[in-house]
Amino acid sequence: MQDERLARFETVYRETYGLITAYAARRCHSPQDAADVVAETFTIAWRRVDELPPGQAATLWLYGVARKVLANHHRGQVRRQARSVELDDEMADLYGDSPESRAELTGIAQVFRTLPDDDRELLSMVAWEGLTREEIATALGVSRNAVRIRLYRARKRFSRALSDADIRLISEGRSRLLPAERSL
Amino acid sequence: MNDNEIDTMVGALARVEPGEPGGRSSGAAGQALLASIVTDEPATAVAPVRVRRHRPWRLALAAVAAGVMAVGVVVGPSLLGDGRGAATSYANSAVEVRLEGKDYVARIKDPFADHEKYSAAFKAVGLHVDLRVVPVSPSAVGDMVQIGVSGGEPGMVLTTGMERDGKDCKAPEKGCALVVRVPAGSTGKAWVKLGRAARPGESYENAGSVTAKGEDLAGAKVRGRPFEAVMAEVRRRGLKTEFQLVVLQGNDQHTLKPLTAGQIGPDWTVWDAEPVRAGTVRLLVTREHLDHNPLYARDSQPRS
Repeated sequence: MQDERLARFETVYRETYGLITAYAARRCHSPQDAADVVAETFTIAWRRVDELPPGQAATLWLYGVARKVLANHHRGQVRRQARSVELDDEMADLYGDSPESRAELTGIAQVFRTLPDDDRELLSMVAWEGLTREEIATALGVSRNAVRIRLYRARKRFSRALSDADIRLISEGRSRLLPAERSL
Repeated sequence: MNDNEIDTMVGALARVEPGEPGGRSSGAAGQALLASIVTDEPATAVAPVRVRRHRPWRLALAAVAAGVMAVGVVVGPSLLGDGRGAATSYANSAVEVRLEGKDYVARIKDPFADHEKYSAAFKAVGLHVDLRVVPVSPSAVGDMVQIGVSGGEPGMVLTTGMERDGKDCKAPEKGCALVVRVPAGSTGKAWVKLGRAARPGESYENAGSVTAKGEDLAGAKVRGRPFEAVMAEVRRRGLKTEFQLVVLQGNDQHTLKPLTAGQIGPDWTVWDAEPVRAGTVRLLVTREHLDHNPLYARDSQPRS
């Protein structure tokens, strides 16, 4: 029984470690915070290994857990655990080049940060984790329709905020992203 | 702006590019975290959290069960009672509990009291914490030795330590008391083992390493060294010894079997030394000299 649980957890861990570390690093301001979120997410997953769904659903379930851990973290309710210290260096490697510091993205990043937390999370789950509406619905435990409506509104708000800040997009594919500041 | 453009813009903000992994599970950090997590008991969340940074994790469930230390442990929300109608402070001869900011802070007045007195104090302020104060080796005083909760969502944190006037302190300084902090409003149940200084002759209930500062073999190098060399150091310090054989079980697991000194050859290898009680240490040995320390994961080997 214990061996079977362990094997199941190890498989999920192997398959999702890269995804969860990326998820945390994309959302946390410091490598230490990201390390805490990763360690806590997998600690909970192990504690609740009997609830871990099979296959691809496990990934979505973990995103859901990570989301809650992150929210608690922002509220200051997750303190450093010794075990997350092990991850600090690996996480720090991901923080070398912050996209937000690139001149052409600073404006977008500023606007993005003004959005409500739920808006940002939905937009991020689509653009960063590449999740479909259905997958997001599963991860967040809400209906597909709710995701559709909330995502629509989030995009609308982001779009409006960008245009309020006079930021437009001149896109020639991902590698050449150049928002243009419009002069009045 | 259409949906694709928005996704492109948001995508460009990602610290880790969309589609790229953050870390690798096969890397040292990923393996160390996995090893540390699965030493916990699932569902009961007995969480062994080491105090010292960079200290590798024991893999052995057997060794962990013997007692582990913790600093701050995140436990489920189901931690403690309903909190309704409870007092915000309470004291008896054993302990004083008081609401300070967002936390209930319990100061242990008598570390040798019956554990029911501690529970009564927590209960009076609406918390269900079963606190046991147990003897530990000098470097683990104030540390959580074990914690058990009934699982659930993340969020709650129990911390322990030694404080005087709100600041960290070390036993046996005067006025330095064992302290447990629990966030107010916690619901559910928890049991906690907290380390206190041992009485003379009392056996320790923590595992830990006896080469840490303040311990009987402080500063000594023992891991990976020949039995006879370690015994020379042990004799030089006038310590008594117990021994255990490390039996490998594959998959980085092992068990421990008692041994007598007469069964051990001078060229056997010592892999760690643990505190047993003041003046007595336990050496963990193998007959063969292995290419790695069997008590630790291969990729988080201790330095010495």
